[in-house]
Amino acid sequence: MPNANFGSVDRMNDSTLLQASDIRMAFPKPDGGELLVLDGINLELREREIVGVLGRSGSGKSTLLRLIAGLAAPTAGHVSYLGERVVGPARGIAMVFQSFAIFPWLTVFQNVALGLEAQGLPRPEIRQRSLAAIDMIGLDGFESAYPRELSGGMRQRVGFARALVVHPNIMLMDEPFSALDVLTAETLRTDFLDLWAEGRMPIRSVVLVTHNIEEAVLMCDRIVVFGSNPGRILAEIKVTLTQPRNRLDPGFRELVERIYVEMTARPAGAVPSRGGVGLSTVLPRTSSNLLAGLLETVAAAPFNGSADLPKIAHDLQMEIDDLFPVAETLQMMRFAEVGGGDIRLTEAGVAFANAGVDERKRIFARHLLTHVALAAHIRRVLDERASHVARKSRFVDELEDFMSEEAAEQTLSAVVTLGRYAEVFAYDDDRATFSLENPV
Amino acid sequence: MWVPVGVWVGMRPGVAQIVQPVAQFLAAFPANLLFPVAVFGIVTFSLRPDIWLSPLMILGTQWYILFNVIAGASLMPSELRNAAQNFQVGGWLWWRRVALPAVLPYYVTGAITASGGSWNASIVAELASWGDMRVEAHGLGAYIADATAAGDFHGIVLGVATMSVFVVVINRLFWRPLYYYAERKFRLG
Repeated sequence: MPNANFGSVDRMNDSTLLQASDIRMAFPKPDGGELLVLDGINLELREREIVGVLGRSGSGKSTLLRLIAGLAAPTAGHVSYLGERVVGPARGIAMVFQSFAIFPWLTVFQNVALGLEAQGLPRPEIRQRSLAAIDMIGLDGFESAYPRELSGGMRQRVGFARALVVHPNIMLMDEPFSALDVLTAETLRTDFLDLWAEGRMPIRSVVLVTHNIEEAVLMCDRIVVFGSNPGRILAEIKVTLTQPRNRLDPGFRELVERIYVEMTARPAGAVPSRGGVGLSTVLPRTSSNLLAGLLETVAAAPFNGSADLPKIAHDLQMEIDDLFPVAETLQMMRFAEVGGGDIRLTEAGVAFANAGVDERKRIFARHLLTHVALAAHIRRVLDERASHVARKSRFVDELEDFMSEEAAEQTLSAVVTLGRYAEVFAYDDDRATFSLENPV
Repeated sequence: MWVPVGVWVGMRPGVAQIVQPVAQFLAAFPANLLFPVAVFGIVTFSLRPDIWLSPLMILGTQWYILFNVIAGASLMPSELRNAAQNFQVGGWLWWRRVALPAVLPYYVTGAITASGGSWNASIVAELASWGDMRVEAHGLGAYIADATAAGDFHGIVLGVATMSVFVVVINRLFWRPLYYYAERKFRLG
């Protein structure tokens, strides 16, 4: 990664298509502070490569894509495309959206032709190029269909054709396969890689935003691993495996493992060194079933208390956005240690997994009140009050000193889940109040 | 006329937050309150009632359309808007391919609501009187009003029945098909 970025526009070499320099993105918070979404991002996109931007949801990776596309402007730093600063949507950068974003009132043909119409090309050329793109992407015969008549996979093909038809230098893909079922997604990935390998697509480079580690390793030449809060680059990994890649290939597995290590390295190093979790920590959304389930799985054979995260993810068919929050919560409550791409149960974790229902709740309650400051705080407030009732809004206000409104809501709903399971307090959603009385 | 304004407002959440309640308030505002002013204007300037009473009907209807269009524009998914931006769809093409189809179902909903109100208003508006000032247009509303004033029971029944048949026929032959078309073709998802 280039660190010195002064005069980067002039210093770009010939094969550089796009460069993001010292990008910082912050949104103002209602209380006057600011929410930092991206910080210190440097990214270079060169000729003939697929670059993956890999990170969990909320790591700002989609925001980065919007900045590159010129759909938003960074708070600081800049993006330059072919040596010129990006100040708005640029011709030559086309985007494929997670939700397809094709117009429901236009036919497949009209959707694909839209970008060319916008360029004011003559009708015959629009027609010929649109049909060629439709043909290439495998939508032949569906030209006059409306999106509502198509399956998700076919809709996303329209999304691809619409991007390809304008012959962009750079294609930006925002989790293009994540709204599709597993089989459809794999078919689309393979088709895309085939076209890319054959050099049939009129594009020079691709940026793929994804939270799917295997997808990144399968498709990309280079993977930029993003960390959260604020979004920043943790590592940049070159993928030299030859295409087509095989998910079962040892080299492939090794790389997946390495990315897990990168992604678990920091939070793991940070949390256990401090005593428990303070009020300022955003709690991940999770469920008590998942927590107990993961503890049981890791405790049982063949893992016997220590497991490889990629292996667990694969066995349980969980993506990192599902798995990491659970693992983090377990770590926060000292039921497990996460690091180096592994999860290891602590003594308490093992005890929990082996205990019966009542004993589990006792262990869980003890750990919750000891290690999660917010849970202890709520409990203390309830204990102190004669009525043993407290409004949720008061805790939201307290949390908002440390985090955004959205994060505060998420944190409270997470602590409600944990507190209910542990039976350390009750929560009435209709009245938005915490209380000590446990509903029978 | 209100469509571009509604779209413009709806695409800007900040503006929509302020304008939307105002439009809703004005929609609830009875057009009758402006009748005295209108009648006074028509009499003073000796204008033709057949033409100049129409603004009164339109007045009551515009707000429904406006706030429906604002709602439609603000409900448009941001990814669709981004897609249009990304492919640099602008100008007339943007209106034709993106904005107008997106708000059409909402426009029709607004127009149907408005036509109901407008129909009533039109009956009243055909004969606007304020004190001893009286302007009259030619039509069903004036006919009913005259019949009522004259105590012509058969005339009232005939007038009201004709009015009801009109409403049903217009609904069946015009609004229903239009609504169905807009609903089917332009609703998202």
